[in-house]
Amino acid sequence: MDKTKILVVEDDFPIRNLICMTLETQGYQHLEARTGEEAVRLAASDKPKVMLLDLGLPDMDGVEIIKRVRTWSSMPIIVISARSEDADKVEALDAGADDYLTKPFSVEEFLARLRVALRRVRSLEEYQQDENSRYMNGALTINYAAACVYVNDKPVHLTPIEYKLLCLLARNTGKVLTHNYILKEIWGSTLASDTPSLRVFMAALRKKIEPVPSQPRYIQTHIGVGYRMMRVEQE
Amino acid sequence: MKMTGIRLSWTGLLKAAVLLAAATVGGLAFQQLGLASANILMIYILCVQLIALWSGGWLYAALSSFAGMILYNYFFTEPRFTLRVYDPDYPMTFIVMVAVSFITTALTLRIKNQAAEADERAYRTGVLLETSEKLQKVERTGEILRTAAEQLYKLSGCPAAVYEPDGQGGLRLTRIYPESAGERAVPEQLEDLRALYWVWENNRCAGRSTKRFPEADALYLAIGGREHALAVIGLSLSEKISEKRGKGPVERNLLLAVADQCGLALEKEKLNREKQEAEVQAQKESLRANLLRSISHDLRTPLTSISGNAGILLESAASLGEKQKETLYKNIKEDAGWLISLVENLLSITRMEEGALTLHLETELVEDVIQEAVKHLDSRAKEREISWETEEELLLARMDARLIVQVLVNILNNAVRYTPPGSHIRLRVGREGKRILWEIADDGPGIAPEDQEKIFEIFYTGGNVGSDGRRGLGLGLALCRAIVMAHGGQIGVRPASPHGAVFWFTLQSAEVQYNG
Repeated sequence: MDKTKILVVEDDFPIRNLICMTLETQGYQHLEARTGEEAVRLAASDKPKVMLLDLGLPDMDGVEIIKRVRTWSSMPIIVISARSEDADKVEALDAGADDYLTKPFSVEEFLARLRVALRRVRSLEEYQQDENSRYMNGALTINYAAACVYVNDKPVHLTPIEYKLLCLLARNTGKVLTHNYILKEIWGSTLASDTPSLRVFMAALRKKIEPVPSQPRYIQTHIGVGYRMMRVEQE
Repeated sequence: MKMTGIRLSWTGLLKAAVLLAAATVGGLAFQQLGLASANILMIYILCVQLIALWSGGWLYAALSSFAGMILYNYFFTEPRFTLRVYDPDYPMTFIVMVAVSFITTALTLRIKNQAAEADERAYRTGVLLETSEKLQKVERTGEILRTAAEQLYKLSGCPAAVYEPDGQGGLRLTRIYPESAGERAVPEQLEDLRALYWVWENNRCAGRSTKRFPEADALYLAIGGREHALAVIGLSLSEKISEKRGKGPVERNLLLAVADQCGLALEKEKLNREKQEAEVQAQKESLRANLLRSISHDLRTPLTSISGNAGILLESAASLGEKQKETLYKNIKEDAGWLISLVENLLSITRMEEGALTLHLETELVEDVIQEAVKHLDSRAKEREISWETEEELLLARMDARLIVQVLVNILNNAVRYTPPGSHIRLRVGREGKRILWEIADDGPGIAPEDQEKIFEIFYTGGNVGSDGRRGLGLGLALCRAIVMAHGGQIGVRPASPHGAVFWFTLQSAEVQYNG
């Protein structure tokens, strides 16, 4: 079995223990780091597939670690933060993290997030090998070349902004994109007044591509943080 | 007998001369009419009184007495128009006349002075009374000191300068009364500074006209209570003024009396302020004490349960069946979940009570918020029929999303907890005028009418036990109310028919320009 290596960066022993035990039961290999320096070193030397990073490390700021790693790696980074610090999460995501977990988290949630990250690794690798001009995710298909979108093979009409939004989310499937990031990529500015508009556009987009808009399968909303395109299992 | 300086002025002498001349003319007239000489004597005596009153000087009166006597001698005694007298009784008459003049003059002057003094006293009492009345009306330190300066100025005629503590152990000038006095009111010399700080530290008066620092330009009065001074007022005495009013002990006592009145008013105001702060502090302490009591009492139960279950699993895992073990695991997980939401509520409520919670208002999609809330419900929620709908698509409201999610979670969890399995819980959000109305309706047993107002109070649980057999801390709804009110909205509950309850709250709606 392919022993996927996961780097766990957490200074609190019981939580680190919990995470590592969980990984073992799922058949993953794990590396442990207690400080930021150790984490960066291990990330460079052992090349894990995914990094789990606690934001409350004693020696280095989590955001700094992310920035350092991002200079030479695009491995998915999942940050773990305490419940009340929304700002920390958003900062980490803007710096390059892919996803976040809030303490206290359940094991199921943790494993689900991990799977999303691993799927992203796979698709990143595939993307590098084969330059796709088509995106396929469950019933959703995007033909980049023709700029057409299909749901269940039926064409869907999107406005230019909705199309750009969808493509941005699709290119970053599995990664949580912050409001700021999306606004910057699509509109080029991050005026606070634009965030409500973004919500409205997202809602409109969801209505067009989700089979049940009130229970979204593709586009996940993360309140106070941003949005994410999920890879849907093929039925 | 009060003497007013030994000065002679030409006007005074002229006044005396005129009066004496008039008296002489009158006397001559009397003589022509044939009236007795005694009457003429009276005229001169009267004249001397008038001179004393008019010129206000004892010296004039004395001189006039002699002058009158000489005039009478000259004009009216035999032989007339000479200074010789024949009648041997007349020397005695003259002596008596002069004596009477002196004495009556002295008495007259005394009465005049006393009347003036009485006026002065009445004026000062009036000022004291006025001070007292004014102080009753004002409340703030600034106004009290302004009144003090005003009244002291009225009493003394000297411009007053108010010095207040600057918060760093020193004093600074905060006010001058009257404002037109400007520079005159603020002396600059070292002696004044010394006097000023001495007064501040010792809560007594010093400066000009006192034994301490008499070289200073101003008189410094401490305004304060019995313990220590709260402010200092300096009265700039200029040469002219001090001579005019005379800063004797009587004067100063009155100034001190006014200063004391103001000092008492200041002290009273300070004590009031301290009392209010103490009350607020006491409230905070009592809330903290309540919280600690509740926490230690109500958190122990789930903790005991978790600890106990884990203990059994550790000790007797071998002798337990799979089913039993699973029940224990489930219990541990549920207790932990209960604790987690409890701690979350506790944290939020302490932050709100301390005023440390800042609202991050954003325009949010109602749907997004509902979906987030539903993710965080109790596991028991699966056994209820929960549904939600928004009246119109793209309903937007201004809110702090995380807090409103907590409100929804609390209300929904309550609905889950206090209704039997299989109950229906329906969440509906719609527009009502300028507001967004959120309603959570259940068809459970409902809320007793007497509890409907009280359930939003902190720590109130109404003795109700939830379907999980556990009482809450009574925080959930109190927190909901605090959050909704901080958003400027309202919250409440009403009965549903045929049975159940409808919890509702309102938030501000928001509009957004949508350019596809």
